[in-house]
Amino acid sequence: MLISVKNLTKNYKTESGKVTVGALKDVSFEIEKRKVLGIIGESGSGKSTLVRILSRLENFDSGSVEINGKDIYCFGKKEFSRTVQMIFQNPYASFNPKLTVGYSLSEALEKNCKNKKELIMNKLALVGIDEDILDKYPHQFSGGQRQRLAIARALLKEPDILIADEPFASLDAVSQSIITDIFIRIKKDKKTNIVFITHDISSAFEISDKILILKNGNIVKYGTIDDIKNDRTNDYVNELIEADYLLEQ
Amino acid sequence: MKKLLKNKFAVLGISIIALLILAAFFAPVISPYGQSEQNLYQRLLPPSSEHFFGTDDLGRDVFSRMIYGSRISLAVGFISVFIILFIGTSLGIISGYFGGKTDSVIMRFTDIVLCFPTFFLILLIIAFLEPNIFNVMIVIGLTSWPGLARLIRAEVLSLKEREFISVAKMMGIDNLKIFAVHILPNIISPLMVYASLAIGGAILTESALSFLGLGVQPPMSSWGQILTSGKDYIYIAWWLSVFPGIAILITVLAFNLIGEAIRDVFDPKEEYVRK
Repeated sequence: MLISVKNLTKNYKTESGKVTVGALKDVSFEIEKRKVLGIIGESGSGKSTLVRILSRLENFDSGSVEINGKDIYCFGKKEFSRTVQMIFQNPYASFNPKLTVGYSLSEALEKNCKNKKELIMNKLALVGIDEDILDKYPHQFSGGQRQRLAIARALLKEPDILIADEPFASLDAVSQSIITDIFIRIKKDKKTNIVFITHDISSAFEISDKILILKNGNIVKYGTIDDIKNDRTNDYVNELIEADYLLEQ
Repeated sequence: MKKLLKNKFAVLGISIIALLILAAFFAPVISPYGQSEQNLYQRLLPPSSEHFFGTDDLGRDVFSRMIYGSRISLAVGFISVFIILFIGTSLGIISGYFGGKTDSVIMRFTDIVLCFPTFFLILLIIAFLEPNIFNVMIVIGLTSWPGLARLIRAEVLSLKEREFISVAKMMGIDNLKIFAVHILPNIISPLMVYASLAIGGAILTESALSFLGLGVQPPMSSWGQILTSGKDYIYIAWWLSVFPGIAILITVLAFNLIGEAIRDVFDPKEEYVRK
């Protein structure tokens, strides 16, 4: 199993500690290697919390999270950085505005790595960005370009899992389709497994093998695309699919 | 550095500071009279070709005393602000970045230090220690950092929620490198503004201490000391207060210019717009 999550629970507390909000309630699922996992849910459904836990940016209260059969907190810092990488929703904030893009990209590589430039060029070609950008600063790029650069940076680590938190959310339609293509290319490469969040079920259908639908911190449905399309017993899933159908029309 | 030298305000600021440092260094060569050379026949003379900045109540040449005094004033400004920057920035970054208990402990300690009226705390410590200029610098540095620590903590709190910090963490970069490469350049502008103001503040605090007899000891001089001693004669001898005042003003201004320029250098966006 690539990722195995068992009885995961996470509560957020207000500062006084009086009110707790359950972000994830007893969530369990597993995903095998070479499968793309799409996580769908409305705002506040716990999908961002789930991926932040997977990427160790957030702690959890109880349960267990394993990657490749190993508890995520048993990984060393460097080892974990080669296991999980994450792309964020807001590409404008994912690069340090004071550093050149070249520097930000090379940070993903080891200090003594000899063919840094070659490796960077490889990944830039994968995301379709010209090479003469290394001396530029992040503000000189559009949102879509920055998101592609962020993907290139994450891939430089050659991670087992690439997590994308709403990678399309703040982008225009053209950039969205470019990034979808990049994900499909990464999927074909078979080196990196993808976990991505979206609130748009059609893009989830396009890329993923398995889909996890969350609502209010609970799993509503987990299964392959066919499972989800064919099983019409759940109202929420029906609603999602119908809404998407209406939009397409 | 190259970028810094292209900025004309920075060059102006750096030249002023360089000039002051040179003057302080070569004080015995430049000053026409000795630091404590008295001439009671020439008391409170207005500025003239013989005494550029006039003379004080003991007939000492104000110009010479100011040149010697620049040694003290600059040293106080630099050393105490260096201490303030070091303590304030490190505690602010650690507190803001790690949060939780570390944050609580550091911030409560900061609050405690902040509770003491700084000037009286300095007075108290200096009264216990020997009143010399070296102690003054260190004590000013050790008591004036809480404001900066809080400022930096607030900046870091908002900064650490930015995604590029999360990315840096995920890249497995050490905390120290995150502080140096990702946090420090992004808080440089408030830091520089604070530092350039703090230098002026330190020079003035030293002058107040000297006025109370706890700073530089006569016959040594500092700008602040000349300034405060001049206030008794402000109606009959304006030059005693005006010239050291202008010197402090120019120094603080020069540091402000450099601070502003450093901020620009660290802000690629600004440069892009100007092009």
